[in-house]
Amino acid sequence: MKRSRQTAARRPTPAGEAGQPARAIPGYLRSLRRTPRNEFVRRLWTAADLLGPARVVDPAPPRACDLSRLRPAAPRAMGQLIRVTGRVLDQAGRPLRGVLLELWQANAAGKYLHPNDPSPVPTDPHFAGRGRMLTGADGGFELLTIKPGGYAVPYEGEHSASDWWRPPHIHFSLFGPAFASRLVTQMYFPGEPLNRYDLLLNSILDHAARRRLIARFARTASTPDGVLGFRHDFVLGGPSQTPWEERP
Amino acid sequence: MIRPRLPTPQHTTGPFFPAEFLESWESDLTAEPGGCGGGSDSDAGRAPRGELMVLAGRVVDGVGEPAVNLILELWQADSSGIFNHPGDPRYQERDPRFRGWGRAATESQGRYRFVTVKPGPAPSGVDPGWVRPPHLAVMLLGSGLMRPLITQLFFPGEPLNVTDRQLQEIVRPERRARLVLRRAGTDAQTGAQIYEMDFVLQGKAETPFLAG
Repeated sequence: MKRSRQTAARRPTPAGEAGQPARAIPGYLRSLRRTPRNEFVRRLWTAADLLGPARVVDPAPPRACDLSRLRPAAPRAMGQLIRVTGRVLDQAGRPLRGVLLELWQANAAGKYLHPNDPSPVPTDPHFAGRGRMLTGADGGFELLTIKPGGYAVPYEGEHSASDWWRPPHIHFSLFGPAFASRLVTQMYFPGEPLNRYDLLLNSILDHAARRRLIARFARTASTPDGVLGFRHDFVLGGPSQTPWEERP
Repeated sequence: MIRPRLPTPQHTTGPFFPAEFLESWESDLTAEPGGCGGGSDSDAGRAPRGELMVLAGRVVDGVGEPAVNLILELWQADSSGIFNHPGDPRYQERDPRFRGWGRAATESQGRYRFVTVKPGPAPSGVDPGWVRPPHLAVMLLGSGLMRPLITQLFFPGEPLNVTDRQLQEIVRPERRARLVLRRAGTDAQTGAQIYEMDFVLQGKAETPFLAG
């Protein structure tokens, strides 16, 4: 059993998926136990892949989201206020309107609003911690929040890294125009010392691809009310084809 | 020529996916609060068209332990084989009481449960000669899954299964059989047919997953 788990760790990422992370990552126990070992079955794109849920939540959320407080006039959460603005694009660079983004993150001390988080660091009663937004006609979104803290990943025994810290990051889940364009990802911050050591970020071997997960600091988008600006775009994949169109 | 950009790399959801994104109506594709996008008031309270069904089962990992806190997303056509998306040419005829998408998470024993309707056969959308058998598209997300795991589930005894190119892409019959649902009695409350599917993420009885 032990030997086969190590085999899983060495298994290469399937071809044709340039810039994607490894599936099975040494030191990340759950990835070793949950990654399939058989060949992936060739996917023949049909309507189920090429179309996708048009509306996941109702009513539609706004284009801008504020996680830094629970209600508009409520006290702010502790930490560095940041504004992340960006666009969701397709692979041709066209803005995608009406993309739902779900996001969640740790507070400034590095703790999640989640019963599974065992971290002893403080919670923050003023921090919303998660939210939803929908891209506008320009594919744009705007997130006001506090910069998340890093945190130590609990050691889970054999095959688990004992000195793994997650760098500050924000989780994003995006619903694009097709089931095949679904994206679940994380956004990192530039210049963080922990970025160099993170098992997830560094499982992407290509430097340029790793950089696509790191937001850009935008000094000009930083405002005198104490908000630091960052820019971050997402590119959704999936086949360029749409169903029921005439093919050459 | 514009060089296509590479998609943003995928990552795991990690273990802290917010409970607020797993509202109870989400696992019931026939429930109201999610909104169907097209239903009018006169539709309120009406049952969706077709055969109500339950999709239930377990997810287990490579050492046979329940995969806890895993997220399953279900996407399918309605009972007439129409997707709830404007790109479907029969979109106007879709069942306004059926959302077509849902989400559920596994509990401490790795079990999940959806309420939905059995989809009808649906045009493939890419070849007029290819009508797909009733099928459910499922995406698994969660801690340890650096990329979503995607597969399609089929119904037992459907004649179109035999000619479905996607299902037949799996060469070995015993592997193919792992994507066919099991009938498992009826729901005591609603009388709905229960279909079971256990997902095995790794190991001898591993579930076949689709690339990309």
